[in-house]
Amino acid sequence: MSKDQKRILVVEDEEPVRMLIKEELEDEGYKVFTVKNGTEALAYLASNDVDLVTLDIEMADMNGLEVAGKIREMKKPVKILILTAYSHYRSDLSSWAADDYVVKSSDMSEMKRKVRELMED
Amino acid sequence: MLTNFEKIIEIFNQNNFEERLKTMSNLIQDMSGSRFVCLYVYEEEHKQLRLMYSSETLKPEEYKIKIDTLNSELLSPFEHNGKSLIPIRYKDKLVGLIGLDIGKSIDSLQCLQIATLLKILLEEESNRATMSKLVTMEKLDNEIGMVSTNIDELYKKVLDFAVEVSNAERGTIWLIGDRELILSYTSGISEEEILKRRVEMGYGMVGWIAQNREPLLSTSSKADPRATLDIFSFQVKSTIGVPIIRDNQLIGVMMLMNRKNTDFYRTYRHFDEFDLSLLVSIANRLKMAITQIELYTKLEKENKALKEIQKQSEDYINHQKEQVRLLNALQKILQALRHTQDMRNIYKIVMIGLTSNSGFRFNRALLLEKDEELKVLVAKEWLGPVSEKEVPSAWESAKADEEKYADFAHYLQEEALRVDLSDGLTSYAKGKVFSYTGDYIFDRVINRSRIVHVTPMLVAQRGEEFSDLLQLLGVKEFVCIPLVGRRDVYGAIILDNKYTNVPITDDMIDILGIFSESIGLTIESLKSYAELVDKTINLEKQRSSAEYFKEFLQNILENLDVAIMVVNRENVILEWNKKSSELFGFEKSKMINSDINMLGPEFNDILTVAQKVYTAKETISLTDYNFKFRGREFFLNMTFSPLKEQNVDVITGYIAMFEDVTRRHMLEIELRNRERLAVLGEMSAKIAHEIRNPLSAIGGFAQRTKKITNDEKISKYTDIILGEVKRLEKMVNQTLEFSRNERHGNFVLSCLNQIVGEVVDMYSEKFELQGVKIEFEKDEKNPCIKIEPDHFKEVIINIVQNAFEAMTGSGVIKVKVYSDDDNVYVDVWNNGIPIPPDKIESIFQPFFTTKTYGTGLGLAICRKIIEDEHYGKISVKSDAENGTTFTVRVPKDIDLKGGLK
Repeated sequence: MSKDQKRILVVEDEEPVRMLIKEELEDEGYKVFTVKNGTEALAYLASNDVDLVTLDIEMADMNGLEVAGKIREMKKPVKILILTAYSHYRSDLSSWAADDYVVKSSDMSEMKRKVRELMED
Repeated sequence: MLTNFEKIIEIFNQNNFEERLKTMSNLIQDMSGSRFVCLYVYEEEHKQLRLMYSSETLKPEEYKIKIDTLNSELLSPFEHNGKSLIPIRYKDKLVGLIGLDIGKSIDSLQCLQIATLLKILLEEESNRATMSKLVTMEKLDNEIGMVSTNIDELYKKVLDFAVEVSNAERGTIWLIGDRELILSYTSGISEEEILKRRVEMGYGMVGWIAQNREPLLSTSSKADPRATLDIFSFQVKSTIGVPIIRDNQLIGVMMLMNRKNTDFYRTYRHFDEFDLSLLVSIANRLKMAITQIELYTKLEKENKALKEIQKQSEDYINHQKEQVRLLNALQKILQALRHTQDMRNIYKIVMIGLTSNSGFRFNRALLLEKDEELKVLVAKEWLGPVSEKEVPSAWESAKADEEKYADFAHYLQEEALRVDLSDGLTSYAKGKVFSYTGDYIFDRVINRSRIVHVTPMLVAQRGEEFSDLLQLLGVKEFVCIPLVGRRDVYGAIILDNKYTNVPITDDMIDILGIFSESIGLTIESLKSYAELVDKTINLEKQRSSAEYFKEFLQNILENLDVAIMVVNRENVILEWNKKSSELFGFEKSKMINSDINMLGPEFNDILTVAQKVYTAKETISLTDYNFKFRGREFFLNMTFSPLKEQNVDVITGYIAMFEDVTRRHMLEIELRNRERLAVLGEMSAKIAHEIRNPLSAIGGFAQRTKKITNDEKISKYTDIILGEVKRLEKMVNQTLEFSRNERHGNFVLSCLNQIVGEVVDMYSEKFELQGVKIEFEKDEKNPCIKIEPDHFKEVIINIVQNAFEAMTGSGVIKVKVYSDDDNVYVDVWNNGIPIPPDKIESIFQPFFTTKTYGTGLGLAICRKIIEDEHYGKISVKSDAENGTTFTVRVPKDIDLKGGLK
């Protein structure tokens, strides 16, 4: 593992999807950590630093947008990518604490592109 | 030497009886040559000879010689007392004696001459006396003429005159009283000499004259059998008397008694026939004078009466004039009142009218208004000069003001507006109250509507009972008049003449009676007028509102969106409104008074239901009744109400109302569908969401499997899995999109020419490759409106893609943007396979699709975007002839949310 390997925290409550995202991103060369809900995510980030967090919006304990807000309160230099079931608009993002969003799909290429773009910023 | 004849002439030339006798004596001297001559005249009445002349003074006893003392027959000369006395006779009657010196004589012829001369002289003298009396009578006439109208004076004067002229000692006039004679006037008689003042007819000479109505001459009353001698105490020697008769009516008797001697000598002393005739003549004059006086008195009386009548009539005329003037004034006051509506001015006019010079001329007028609640009269205004000092200037200026106007009514109106009654006298009275229950004056005035005239006498008798009022007024005479209407007494006015003290007459009170009623009525009618105006206005309002409602109802009936028919028992149509015509197509003019059954057999069922109101006696309603008429399908709400006569429980017909609820019915169906869809959408969304994650996992891992395998079959199978996963994912995405219920997106001002143009550009190349031409017609007005551009674009894409998919082989798609005042439209037309009519209503429904692939949500989402997000409308027309046109309409002002401006 190289020293400049980027670290990503995947927050996803459904195991198969979490596993799929983890593998897909690891294929891209990222160091991927996973948690299954918002609470765990905040707990993880309290003691660990990552470069990017992927947040599923629909989660059992906490809405992804809410989690994003709390992450921002930690004042950490972390990018947040929202995974949503709906299509949204650039304008909506301004009110969000997230950096970008991507509509969930079996085709992971869109998500991987967004992650790449965010890592390059 | 004069001849005898000349001497005789000389005798007659002498002026008086004595001179004549003296001259005659001279003649006798000449004849006889006697130095001494005297002349005696024989007075037959007293049988004596009276000395008339003597050339020497004789002894008094020789003045009268009684003939019976002479011893001579007096036929021839004889001697007596030393004289020779020669009797002279005329026609054998002794005339007198001539006395000569004894021894002297005259011859018998001379004696006869002298006798004749003496006789002539005596007659002459008598005639002269008569002449003198006649002259005196003239004097009487003059005197009587000067006697005024006083009859007493006349009697007295005439009596005095008669006494004087007749040389009577005394005279009396007796006037006839009640069957007796009353001594009324006397002359030369003292009270003591009168013994009887009243005598009966026939008593004494007076009574004789009165009874016989004849003159009386009594020369020796003592011996006269007619004399009673007990009426007067003096001795009555001779008497003449005449009855005073006028118009055959005995008035009285005039009597003269005892003749005196006079200037004129006559041979007897008592009254004679001449005196009597003189008295008769005097009596006649008296009678005439009485008549004259009576006439005069009568005339005077009549004149007086005439004057009295004249004065009376003048008074009456003046009085009438005054009455007329007052009535005129009253009329003018009323006239002035008729032009006035303000209560205060009314009172002012009344008060000015009562006090002004052209009006009733009262000095002061005090207005009292009735306070019904407190039962008192309240002093309001008082018009008139404040004090005596102010009177001349106040009245002068008032009169001057008055004279400026030709018309009194006009003056009153103007003056009432000008004059301010709040000061002056008013300040002395304002606010003073007088109870009118039990008050001596006001109880009569207010409760009994009487005019009360308070006189000084009344003040003296009962003044204490109204001392307050007296104190205020300061007068002892005034009049209080009520203002009487038909229904009520409105107050009172007190009038007085404090300064002029002119008494208030009964006539004035009468006029004031008319005044008080007239004014009261005017005030009343004025008050009623105000009420009447109110009532009239109300009535007018009611009337106009009744008309308004009638019209309003007619309007409503005509404009109601409900068909209304009124039908009577005989099935005759009485009312048929516009909507009925619109709905069923029959003209009103044909339907009114026609039989309802002419509507046709389609109505049979409806009319059967309608007939049931007669038995049910209540309103029958049917809702959403499916009615097919002339090939059209309606949904109708129907109501049949019994038509009842007012207040009578008899049904004379029915009112049928048909409301066309077809559209509402359809909307309700659609709404029900939408509700169903909403539930469906929600369920779909849940399912879709649940499917999404597993689907992502399936797809994701299928992808990874494909990546790591070299096995062709596995690769082929994973492709199939991936294809199906994609199809499912699309469906899930669309399902989720459709079921999102929040209106979201970024609404910005966008120009539709550009948005639609981008879509056309995007597809034109691709379509042309497949032989489909796409034409775009922009709107010249280039409408730019507030829309969500991404969503809107998605709709256009969807419609254009659908159009393309409708094509079989080559064709044309025409896209057109256009606009009107409120909306912008986008038409997408194609000439591909038309949508079957039975499907056309369903194509916007979710999950409806004619395609073997596709979610069936495309048009449903389009409709959701256009209609729910943009408040517009998406619609479609399709047939083989005209092709298929989708029309999107979007309002220019989205903020109105589909409502009108």
